[in-house]
Amino acid sequence: MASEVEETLKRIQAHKGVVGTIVVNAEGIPIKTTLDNTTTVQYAGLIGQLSDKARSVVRDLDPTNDLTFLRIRTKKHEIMVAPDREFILIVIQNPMD
Amino acid sequence: MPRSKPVLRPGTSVLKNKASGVKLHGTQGGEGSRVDLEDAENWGRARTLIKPDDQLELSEAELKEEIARVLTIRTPQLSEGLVIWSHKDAAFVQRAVPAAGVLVLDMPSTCLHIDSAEAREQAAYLGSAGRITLAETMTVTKAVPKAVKKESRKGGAEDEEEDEEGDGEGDGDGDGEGEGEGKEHAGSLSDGAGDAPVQGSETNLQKDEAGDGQAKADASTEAIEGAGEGDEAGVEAGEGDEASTADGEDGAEDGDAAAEALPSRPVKKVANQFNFCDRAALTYNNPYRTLSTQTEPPPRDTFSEQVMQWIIYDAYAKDWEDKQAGKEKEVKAVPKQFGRQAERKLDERTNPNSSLNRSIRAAKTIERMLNQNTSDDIAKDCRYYEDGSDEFREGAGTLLPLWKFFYEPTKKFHVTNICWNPRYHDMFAVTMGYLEFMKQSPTGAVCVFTMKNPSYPEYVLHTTSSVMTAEFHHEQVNLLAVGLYDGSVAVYDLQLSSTQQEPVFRSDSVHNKHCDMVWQVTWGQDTPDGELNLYSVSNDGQVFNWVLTSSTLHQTTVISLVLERSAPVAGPDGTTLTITGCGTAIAFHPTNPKVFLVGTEEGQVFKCSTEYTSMYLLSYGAHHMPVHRIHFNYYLPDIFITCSADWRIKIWEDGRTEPLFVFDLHCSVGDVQWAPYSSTVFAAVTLDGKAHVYDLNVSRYQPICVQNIVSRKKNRLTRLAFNKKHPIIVVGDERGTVTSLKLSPNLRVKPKATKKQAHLTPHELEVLKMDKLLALVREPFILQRPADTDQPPE
Repeated sequence: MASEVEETLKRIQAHKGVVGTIVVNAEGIPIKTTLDNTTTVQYAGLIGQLSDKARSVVRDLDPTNDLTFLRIRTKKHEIMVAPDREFILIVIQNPMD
Repeated sequence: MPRSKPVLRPGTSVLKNKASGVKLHGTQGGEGSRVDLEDAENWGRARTLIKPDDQLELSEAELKEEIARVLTIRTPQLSEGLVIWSHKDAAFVQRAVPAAGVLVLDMPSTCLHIDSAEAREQAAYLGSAGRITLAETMTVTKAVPKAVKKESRKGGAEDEEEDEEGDGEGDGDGDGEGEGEGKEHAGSLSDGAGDAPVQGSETNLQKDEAGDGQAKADASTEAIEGAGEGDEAGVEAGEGDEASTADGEDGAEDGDAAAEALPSRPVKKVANQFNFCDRAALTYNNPYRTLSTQTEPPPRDTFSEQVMQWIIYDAYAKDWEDKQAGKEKEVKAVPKQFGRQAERKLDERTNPNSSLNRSIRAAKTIERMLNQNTSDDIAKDCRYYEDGSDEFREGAGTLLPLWKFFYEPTKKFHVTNICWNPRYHDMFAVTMGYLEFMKQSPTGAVCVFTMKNPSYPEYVLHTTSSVMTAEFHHEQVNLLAVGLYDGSVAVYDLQLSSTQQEPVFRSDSVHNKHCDMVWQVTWGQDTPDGELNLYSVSNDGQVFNWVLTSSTLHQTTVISLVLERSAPVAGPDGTTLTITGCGTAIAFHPTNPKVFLVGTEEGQVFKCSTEYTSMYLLSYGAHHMPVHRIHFNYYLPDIFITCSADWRIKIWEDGRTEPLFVFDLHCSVGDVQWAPYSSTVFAAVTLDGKAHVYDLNVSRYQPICVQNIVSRKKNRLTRLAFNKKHPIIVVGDERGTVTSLKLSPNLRVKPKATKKQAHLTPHELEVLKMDKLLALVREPFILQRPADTDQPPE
């Protein structure tokens, strides 16, 4: 079962253009990453804050609503964030590759 | 209480008063009796009288002479002989003398004059008490001093009358009324306005006091006294009200004294209804005390938090949940400890909201996003691209390749069947197996792909044998029926497939399965009990019906496909065998769920019914090679299409043993399907890797599109399926790959309604379009040949 998550993450990492995959736990500590340490910490901290803020915005607009996914399109990358109560899954993809 | 009309004689009083007033003026004037009242007012100023010259001089004796002046009620000037002409009598008649009297005030009252006959009557009626009062009042009248003026006496008399009434009525009432009336009357009667009311009220007051404490007789005595005093007060009234009040009180006191002196009569004492008691007590005041202590200040902490709307909402939601949980706890007093734990473990796996499942979902969604990014152009093509060149090509179209779906471990398998999910239009199941007898493998798989993720199947179901066919249930779309090469049938639940690979139903036992590969399974209509059931057709010549009971698949044979044309064949050891056909395809009639068609390897198509297990309704000699597919038209339920390895596609009408259309594709036809969007379009795939699309409305002989999908040398196409919603077909090949293709606009031309057909729905238009075509090819029934008989002519 848990292996299904592992498998999917492996596939994601193998997918074309994927730069890195980070899994952050509820405390904000990266528990799984394919990037180097500093980048991982930076991404985990900043994306954590951003997703908290984004969730706050969505919830404030309608308390019954909730944030499910967050896609940040940048010039170089696309950062896909799946924010959950217990984890945050961050995938960085370079769609131009 | 009887009240008689009061008898008053105000007239006399007024007259007398007036007379006395006049007399007074007359005497004051002194000089002449003719002095007017107005003149008399000026007497103080005019000292010297101006006399006319011719005034009559009177002697002393003449002046002293009294000239009596009489005031009459008659007008002396008024002539008595007034007449008026009467037209009725035609004569002069005496005119009525107008009344001389002037009514100054008329006020009905309940007072009775003491002397009047009515008063006496009343007294008599009231009995002894009344008599007593009457006697007393009579005394009163006598007791009033003669010197008192008539009007004052009058007031007194009224008081006494009130006394009478008071006696009759009872204490409280009588007093109150008497007082009020006394005032009114006194006011109205007397000229010296202020005087009389004062008297009246005073006397009444005295009376009240007396009434409270003393006997009735005393009260009346007081009243006499009071009246006497009151009269005196009335004489003095000119000086002021206060004085009179004081006098009245004095009088009352006097009256009391007098009353005590008099022998009291036993009169029933009536309790005071308005008794009022007030009692008070003074208590000690408690001495004041002050006590103070100093405590340690409570610990303080600075707390700051940003409160958003959703935080408040969450707090309320949590509170509500806690309350609900508390209620539930009350209901379930003793929960089973063990059961709870087991439940929780199960929850972790099946509960879609467990963190594990959520993480899987998140990962899968991210995977879709990655695919969306990488195959963005294809996704846009799929959604928006329409081949522009179609406008310049009449009656021809193209197929635009979109994604290719494959699963790495099943790349060597053949695609044996493709089935779209009836609810989720982006999802389809692909069965992986082998179509060649010599190339079987001990495994197989069903891959459920979604168009949103072409890189990896959404679900993979591994089996122990090649999978030949699969079909989604039309209502419970998570159920997937699967037919296997080893002759067994299984039903998978895709909702559980992530946790368990095993099918929910499987026909495992030796007896409970087909003896040869299952070529096709199809879901039947639910049984009357609501149980799901499916039909399977197999190479062993049996059509089975499988009913899904609570745990097992219950199998019944629907029909054995005995070939009609062959008589029982003698076996080597003397037994005889009936040769059965090998079923390869099955299709249920769209409107009649009891009727179905079965195709065989021998090329026959049998029309059967679930009601009869021993005979066919009809048999079509459709093909010479195995029938690969039978498919009913979506619009006309009696039209169906068959394809076969004998290179041919045939279109049939139910009940006609001759095909309506025949198409030769010069290659074995793997699959053929009607288009769900049009009644005249169908598509087919051939082994040489080509996809063919026909539109009978455009051409009855030529396909409108033939396109190579895979390379002819390396690969072959096997199966095909139309998406029910989007203009997309998927074709499977022998390398485990499914290619999705978008139909260009020319391949999905909708019939245009003429002006006459404006009221028709699109569905009716499609039916009309096909009907028109069929009319061209249908042989008239008259010309139909007689049916062939089995027996050869002798």
